[in-house]
Amino acid sequence: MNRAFIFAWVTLAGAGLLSARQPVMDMVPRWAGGWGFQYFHEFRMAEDLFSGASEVANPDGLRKEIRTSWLEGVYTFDRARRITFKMPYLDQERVALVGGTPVTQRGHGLGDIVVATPLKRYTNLPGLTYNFGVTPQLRLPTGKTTADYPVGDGSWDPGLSVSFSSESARWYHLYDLTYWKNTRGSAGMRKGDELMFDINIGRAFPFQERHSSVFVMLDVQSRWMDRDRTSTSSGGESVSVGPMLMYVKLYDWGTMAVRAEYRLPVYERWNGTQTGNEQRFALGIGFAF
Amino acid sequence: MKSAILILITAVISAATTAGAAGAPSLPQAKTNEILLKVGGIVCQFCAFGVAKNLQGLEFMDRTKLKNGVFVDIEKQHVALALVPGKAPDFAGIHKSIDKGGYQFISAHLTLHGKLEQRGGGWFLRDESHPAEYALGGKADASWVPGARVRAQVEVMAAAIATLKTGQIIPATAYKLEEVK
Repeated sequence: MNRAFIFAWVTLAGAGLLSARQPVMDMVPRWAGGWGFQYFHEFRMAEDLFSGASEVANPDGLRKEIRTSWLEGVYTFDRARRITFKMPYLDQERVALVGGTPVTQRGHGLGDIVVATPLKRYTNLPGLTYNFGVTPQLRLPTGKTTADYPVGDGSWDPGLSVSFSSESARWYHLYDLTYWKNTRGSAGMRKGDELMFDINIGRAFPFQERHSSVFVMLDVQSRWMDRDRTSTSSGGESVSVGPMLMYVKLYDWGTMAVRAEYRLPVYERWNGTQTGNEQRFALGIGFAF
Repeated sequence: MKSAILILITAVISAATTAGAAGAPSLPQAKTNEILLKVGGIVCQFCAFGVAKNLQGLEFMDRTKLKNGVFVDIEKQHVALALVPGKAPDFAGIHKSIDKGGYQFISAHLTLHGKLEQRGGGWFLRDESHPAEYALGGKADASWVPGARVRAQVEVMAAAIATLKTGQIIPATAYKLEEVK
């Protein structure tokens, strides 16, 4: 199998990877008729080459760099039913081997939009609120498949998340298990299925008189990706960890949440030879009304 | 490098979880011309925006007090409402506002001045500042005198007022009366 072809598949799979997070966390809006949007800028970069779980020499300088701007929206019918969308705009670049020669390839444009319908069952207790959630999702084939480094794979991909989150005045926990079924795209691409388990555990520092709070969280993501249908050198597993900071403020007109995230892998094992050790930075701002 | 970053992350989380919260709130009390609500699960001010917005839309709210008439205390899961003098509180509206806001209304607490009345074997408390009347259930105190002016602390449970209309007698599920000379 051509190494460049394998690399293209793996990096495309990485570009399409979606975290389980919902707009403006899963906290708001929980009120009937509430709506919100979030702008999220994500930067991911991998410059190391792995064979299985071991880092190997990378004499050709294979790497990838993906910048994604997410526009996300949510509408809450009532506390139990929401609808969300996530619209990514990608600007990405990689160095891949083409005929044994390292070549820089680029792709940019609208990626694959995701729509979801989070369904939640809330329980409110003195000092605590928690919910169990089920979220059917669909990834639409809106991303172009034509660039050197395509931003979409042209497939309709269903996904399902199950989650639990709880919150007190001081603590926030979120556990989310998501499965994506990747179907064959119009360009003949077919990525492997994905299974992700996310954990967010955070401490809240409320400033009640100022109607604001700071959250300091630990973000852990475990991810398993199946091999794609055309290559044995694809897929793998990883565990990434990092801090997440969030500042929230209540105004007369609505709420604002600003967040910053950083995540790096603490464990990774890839099938065949692939880039790894991906660093991820993200900054976002969201509003709910 | 990876180890250093992990140590930094651990330190940040550790510091965050051991530090005390700044800006400890001054807790709202059930003052006269206010209602103090106990609300289950209301542990985040910005998550409670919907509750506050719904409550602010009620007719009896004094939006010149507190924060547009409402203060959410996430430490005690209390919500204080400022009342316009002369207007009756709409308990069913409060119930609906909290429910649609995503939380659980437990009870309402008021401190009021009023007069005791006795009718048909039952005792009632008529609020002097707001056109509302409370039914005092349970055993009457032998010292009660019809027409006596009292300072009362009243608790109203959510379950008893979900469908109550403005102007209807409000069942007080607990109360403490103190005669005012």
